[in-house]
Amino acid sequence: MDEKYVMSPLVIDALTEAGNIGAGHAATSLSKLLGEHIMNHVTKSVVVPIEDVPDTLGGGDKIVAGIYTTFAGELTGGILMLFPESSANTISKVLLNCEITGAQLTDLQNSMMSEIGNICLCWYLSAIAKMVNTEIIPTPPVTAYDMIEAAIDLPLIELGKVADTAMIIMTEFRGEIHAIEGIFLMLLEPDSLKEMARRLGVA
Amino acid sequence: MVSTIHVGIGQMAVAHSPTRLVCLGLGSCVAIAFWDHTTKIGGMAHVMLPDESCAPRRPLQSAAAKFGSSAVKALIKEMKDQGANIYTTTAKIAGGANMFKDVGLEMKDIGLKNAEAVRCSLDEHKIRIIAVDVGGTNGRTVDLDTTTGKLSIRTIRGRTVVV
Repeated sequence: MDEKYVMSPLVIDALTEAGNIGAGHAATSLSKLLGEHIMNHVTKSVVVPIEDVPDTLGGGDKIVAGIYTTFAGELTGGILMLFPESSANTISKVLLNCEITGAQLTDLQNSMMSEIGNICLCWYLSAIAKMVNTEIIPTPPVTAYDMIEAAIDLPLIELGKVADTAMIIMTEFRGEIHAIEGIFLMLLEPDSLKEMARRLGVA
Repeated sequence: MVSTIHVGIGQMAVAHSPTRLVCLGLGSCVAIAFWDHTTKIGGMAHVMLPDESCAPRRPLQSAAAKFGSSAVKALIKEMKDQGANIYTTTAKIAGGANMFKDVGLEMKDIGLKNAEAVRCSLDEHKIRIIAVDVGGTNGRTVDLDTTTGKLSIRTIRGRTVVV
């Protein structure tokens, strides 16, 4: 385990709460987009070796739509939204009035997913930025529609350049009408975790 | 009941027949599958990055299998330790896709760079590559049967190839 990841319960609590607030803002914007009340479950922070991240997320080769954004500034890392196959299909029906066929997103569906990520993930990040009084600059989001491990391996590769252990701040969400569900997931680089804890006044 | 070892990202494993070695959902990662037909021992590494220069601030504990440049050497050693004959061992590689269509240039190439690093390293160690399925935009699940040496490669778009 990396030395940097030996974190006190207080630090973990503070980071979890920050993730909770970020995910709250993201869920509100997703609710407006879909015209459906999206509820967040409790945010969890988990510290695991990178190779265990897929299992932590339910693992295996089930199909997901994964929307991924990296961000830079004083905090660097990646943030993702994951929708299981059925929810991705429902969203496509609600917003575009068409289904996902042949296990492949059309250009329009791909663009729609990226735009959902753009809106929700930016709300997430801007809430965090405000809370810790810094600027976070996100890159345009990109979308993959594939097996969950394949969809999250690039984010893990990026994190893998600076760490062997990941701290995942994850929130599951669910909508009431269409039963849309998914996960918000933030992966901060070790130095950024420290910096965020410092700015939250718990380091 | 044949047991299966799931080789996680940045990890490797060696197993005797009839155990199966599996990497689930390779995106930009590359799987190296070794098989020695004389002893029916197989090995698999799930490579994340081409070499250590990609991780300048790399923590020291990183597993060798994380990098294409060091994974081959580590896998050869483990195969030998388990009794395999490295001169009759052949390699198959799969993965190295680009999962995100619009991703920035630096990240777009990571899959192909991984594949290239693995290929170079195999050449360096004189391990013969007998099958390659790299690149593209599909995630792959690979499954090595250590009894026959067959590697099955599955994607979600309905194509399963056995090499």
